[in-house]
Amino acid sequence: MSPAVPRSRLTFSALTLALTLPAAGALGASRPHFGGTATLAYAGAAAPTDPLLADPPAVAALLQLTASSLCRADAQGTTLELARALVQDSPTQLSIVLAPGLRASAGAPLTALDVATAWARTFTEASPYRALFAPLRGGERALRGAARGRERLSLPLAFPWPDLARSLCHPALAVTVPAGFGARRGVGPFVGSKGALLASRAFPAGRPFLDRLEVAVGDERTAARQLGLGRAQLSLNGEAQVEGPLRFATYLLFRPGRVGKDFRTSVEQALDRADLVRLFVRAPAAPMPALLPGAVEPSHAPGLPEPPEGPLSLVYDTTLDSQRGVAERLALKLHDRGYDVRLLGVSRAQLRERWAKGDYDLMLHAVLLPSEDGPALAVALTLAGQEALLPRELPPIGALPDLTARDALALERASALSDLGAAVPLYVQGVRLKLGPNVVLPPLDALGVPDLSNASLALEGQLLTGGR
Amino acid sequence: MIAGVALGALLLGATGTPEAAALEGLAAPLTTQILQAAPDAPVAIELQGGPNAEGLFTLLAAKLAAARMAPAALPCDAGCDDAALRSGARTLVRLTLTQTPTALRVDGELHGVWRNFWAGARDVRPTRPAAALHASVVLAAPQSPLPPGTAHALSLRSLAEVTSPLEALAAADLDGDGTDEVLALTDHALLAFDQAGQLLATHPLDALPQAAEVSRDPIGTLAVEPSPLNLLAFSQNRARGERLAWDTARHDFQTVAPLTAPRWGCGGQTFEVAFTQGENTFEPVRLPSPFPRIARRSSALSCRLTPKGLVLAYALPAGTGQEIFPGGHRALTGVGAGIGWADVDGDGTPELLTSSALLTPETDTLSVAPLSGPSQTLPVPGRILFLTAARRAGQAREAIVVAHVQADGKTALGLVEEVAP
Repeated sequence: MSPAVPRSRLTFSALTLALTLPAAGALGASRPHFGGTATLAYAGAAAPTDPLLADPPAVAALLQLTASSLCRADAQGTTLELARALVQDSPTQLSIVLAPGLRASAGAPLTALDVATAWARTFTEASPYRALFAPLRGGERALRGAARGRERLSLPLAFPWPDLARSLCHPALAVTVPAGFGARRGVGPFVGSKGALLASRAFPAGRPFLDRLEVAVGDERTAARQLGLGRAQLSLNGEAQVEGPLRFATYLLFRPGRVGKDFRTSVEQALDRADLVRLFVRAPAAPMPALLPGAVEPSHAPGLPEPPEGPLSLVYDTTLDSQRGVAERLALKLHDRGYDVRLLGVSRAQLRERWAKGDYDLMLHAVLLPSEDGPALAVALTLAGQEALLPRELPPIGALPDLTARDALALERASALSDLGAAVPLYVQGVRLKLGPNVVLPPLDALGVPDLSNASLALEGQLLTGGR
Repeated sequence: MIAGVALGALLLGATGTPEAAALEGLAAPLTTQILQAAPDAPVAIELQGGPNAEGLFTLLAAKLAAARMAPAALPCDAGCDDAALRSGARTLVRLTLTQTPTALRVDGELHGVWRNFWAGARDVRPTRPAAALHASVVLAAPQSPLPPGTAHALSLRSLAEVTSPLEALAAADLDGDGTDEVLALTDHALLAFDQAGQLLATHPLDALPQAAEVSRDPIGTLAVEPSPLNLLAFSQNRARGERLAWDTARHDFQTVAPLTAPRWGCGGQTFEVAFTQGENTFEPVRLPSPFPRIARRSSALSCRLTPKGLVLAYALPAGTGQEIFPGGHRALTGVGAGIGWADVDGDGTPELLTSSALLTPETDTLSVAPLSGPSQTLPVPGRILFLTAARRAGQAREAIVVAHVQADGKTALGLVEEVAP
């Protein structure tokens, strides 16, 4: 809109979050071309089908090919995917209208009840992403009763929380239904098995640009070679080329009763985050001295650490490639200070399970922080075992009508609360994505996740220098 | 862009061949008068009055063809009725174009050529249809700062910013003051701006039902029908479009009727086109004679009625295209989605406007190419998606409206004008 937009129109757009069209419209002097087959070389193990575990940006990008969330949050606005409208009826009421005729890959209709059930799994599966629903009046119960008919949901809030609509775009809240043998299926821009995906014409945000996307799972060298030889057009989780937001945050969680007195002081004294990131964490990454990226590093209270008698187990995620190196480094640094740290690598599912049960002494735990800092603070506090603080910390943030002010207050609180919980913030990472010479992709979304359904293959004439 | 019957046309024409630009102002009232007489088709037109008569015939014939009057030129000096009868015509229009330094004037008549066999040798004309035809145009004094043909430069002036992606761009003289308003179609609304960038009206489209299959990069059509001025707006992601009129009193659009299929406008006529389902192209289009069929999916089309006939250009997704003009055609390469026509130098013949074919340029290139002679270019920040011409009261030179997507994803509307170097 121009600055001359009438006030009534502005109010209208503020109320209706049916905001922007797919961002691809912003692509070209010449428009991106529909059609073609591309191969995506993915360096890593086959991705899980459970969105709650598919939160590393690369895995989220992969899962979102076949299981979308309601919307996608990008820098320009919110692009609706499975939702037709997200309407803030009142400051404490969000109504959701689903796109009509949604069908999961197996063919069964996807209803509002399925959406509510999928989201309620954040509580039943004890996922840290349940914090996204913390502002709901009645928590899990409100979620279970949210469906209104087949296509509508109504979320009552305990206090105004304007960032709720955008936090529903989080990839962990992708809508999936059980599909047997522990697998889950959703509605995405592509259909098919993991190997070869075909464009879905029924996707409510419009079919993807590519007709077909083949996913070649392998190691990093294979991915690099395939891209170099032109056998693959995109490589994910290999080399990093595309820049974007860093929201995948890793924390060192500890159990206060088991690690001895003033453990945090030991870690802060032993740890050089810049050094850790430079030597042990794959780029793109940045040190994170406070609970949220961008928050000011707090001044740590002095303490007198007392290492415990017995050994401590450090649980880390074997599916994240940097975590073993980081865990070894931490064990070494802590050993110098009198701690006996033993490493224990587990799968992502087991890690989340142990986290939920409190079954660890030390744990490296990474989460994909929501794009807005208010919801991100809720997730970080929940991870740090400070969920009880949410009813006190969130309402003042939600009461601010301006997003910039909300983010600023959330960062201020993140800085103030950094030393309170049982989590030492370590670093944030972004996705590692490299594009072949003829692939065009819009910028990463606000969570740093690429929307591969917007990838298109440029025709020869679209890459040459223009002219008549 | 399509020329309307607006007052602006009467005021057009200042330098070079002012008559050529003013002919449009003659053709429109003549068409109205001819159609009011309810003639039988086909209509033969005999038009005298020197070099400009040919141009007026082209414009008149195009308008009558749109009204299914099957117009044809009739060269004759005497015995025109017989010549018309022999050619199969049922109505004869005889016009004389006269020119004074300050005005163009057309006088003539219309009558049926059907003859009663039983009347024998007596020449008895039928009483209906019959009408006297008169039209005149005052030629405005030159107001353009630059005489045509002199060295000139293009400069870009920012008009407004639109947050939603643009689907179509057009210009039409809504209020009849001779200066075109800029019309921008998005998925959510049709916006009207004046040439100072002020938002005049917003017509929401949210009440229209969604299309069965939507596109993630939608396009639209925005055709302008003159006399009475109607806008035919159709957004690809909507199941139907709208025929809109401008309510001068309320300064807003009024829905006249729903539109079942997208229509593309050209020289006062509109043609049905079809969007490729779920994509960002038009399906192959059957163009009006004498143009060939566009056999492939095109990403952009633009045509314009000139005194010499229709000119047309289209671009294909790969960046190639065709420019078709009376008596020939030319292949285009490296052209993008921005394509249009504008009489930038005011010489009466429009120049072809194109953008580059690049998908993600930091700076796009607007190219202004006359039918013959060197073309001019202007760097435009971001990526040009749409180009169209905008007339200005009392000026033969038209401005170019540019819709370009900036780095932040918003679409900027700008006006490119010729300025003294």
